[in-house]
Amino acid sequence: LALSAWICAALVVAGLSFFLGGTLGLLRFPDVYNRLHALTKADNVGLGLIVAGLSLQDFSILSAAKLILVWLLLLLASTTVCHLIARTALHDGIAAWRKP
Amino acid sequence: MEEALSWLQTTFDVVLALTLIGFAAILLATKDLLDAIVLFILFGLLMSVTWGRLGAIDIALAEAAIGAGITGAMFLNARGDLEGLSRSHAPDSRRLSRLAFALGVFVLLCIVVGAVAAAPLEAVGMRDLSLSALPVSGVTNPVTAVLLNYRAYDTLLELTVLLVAVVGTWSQRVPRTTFETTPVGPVLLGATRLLVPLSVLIGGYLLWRGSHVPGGAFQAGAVLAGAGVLLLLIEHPMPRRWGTWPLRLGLASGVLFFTLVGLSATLGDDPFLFHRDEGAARRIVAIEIVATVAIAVALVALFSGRSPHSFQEEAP
Repeated sequence: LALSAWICAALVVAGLSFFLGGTLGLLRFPDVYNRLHALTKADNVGLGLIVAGLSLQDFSILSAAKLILVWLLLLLASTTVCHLIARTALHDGIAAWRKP
Repeated sequence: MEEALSWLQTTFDVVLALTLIGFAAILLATKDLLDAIVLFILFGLLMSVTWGRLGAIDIALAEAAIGAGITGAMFLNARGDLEGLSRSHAPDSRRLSRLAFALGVFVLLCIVVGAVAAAPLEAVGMRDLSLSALPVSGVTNPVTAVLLNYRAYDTLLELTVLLVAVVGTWSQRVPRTTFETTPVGPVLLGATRLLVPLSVLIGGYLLWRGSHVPGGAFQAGAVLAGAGVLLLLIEHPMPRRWGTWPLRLGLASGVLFFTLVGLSATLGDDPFLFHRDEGAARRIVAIEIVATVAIAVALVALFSGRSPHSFQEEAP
């Protein structure tokens, strides 16, 4: 196997670990703000690593550019959605969790 | 290595199929509306992955954009409208009819599974016939050739269904809904400012792609509709300004133009809705462009639910 294939696999696995962490956070964290915090990290960094890994496969520059564009769009969308959910939660009077 | 890869793919497919069925079961069993909507969106996304695994990229794109995206947004919107209303629970006396219904579905399922199991593994289909006619169809993407040439009446009727759905929604006289309980903030405004032009670009790209690779009017229309929904959410004046006759024109344009171009084929010796050789490519692209706009307008109109009358009544 070529070196680039190993790097690609390593990046994708690293990205997946962020998704696993994000999912764990969603299930385990105590309130909506904490869960959002965990989820956006997974989306942003996890997908970024997966896109980086996939770009190293023998795709063309054009497909790599499209993948990166998808990631940038997701950054924008997930940031906005995270903000909107947190804002609505705050507006609805959901208090942030404090360590008991 | 090859063996391990194919084993991995099979495992993935089996897990995917089981998850789909599981989601469908939970979705049907859940009592909470919001849970059901979220599950529906997730189901649509998984369905999209499934179509991708089956190699049907066109359907995967359409499922993600329309099935999960726009329909999910409509459900969420409808739920917001329902929130004030009191819920009436179905009486238990209907349990027997439910049981009969479930039994009927089960029998039907058995028949379908039996028929699939009995069918020969080698599909006879119309694949070769459709591929052999591709050079004269005006496009190089076989899916587009089927949708806009061989079976164009299918697509024309789909557009008609969308149109009828909008008319049906208008006849319900949906009251004016405000989409946000909280005022529109700068982040949503900024994101919309970036996303709307990008949606137009991506919609145009999907439309242009459709003639030779997966993509086309429905996918492009759904992406454009996403931009329209965003404009509604930030209460941009554009949907209001265009809410009267441009809305009607945009809605009707798809069916009208499709029918007119279809009729133009009969001026030659071809049957209705049939395109061949030179001119076919041009006509198909023209239909796709108009259909994209009509689909986008119809989806946004379904999301908003407001009829042109309500805009006129509001105007001084």
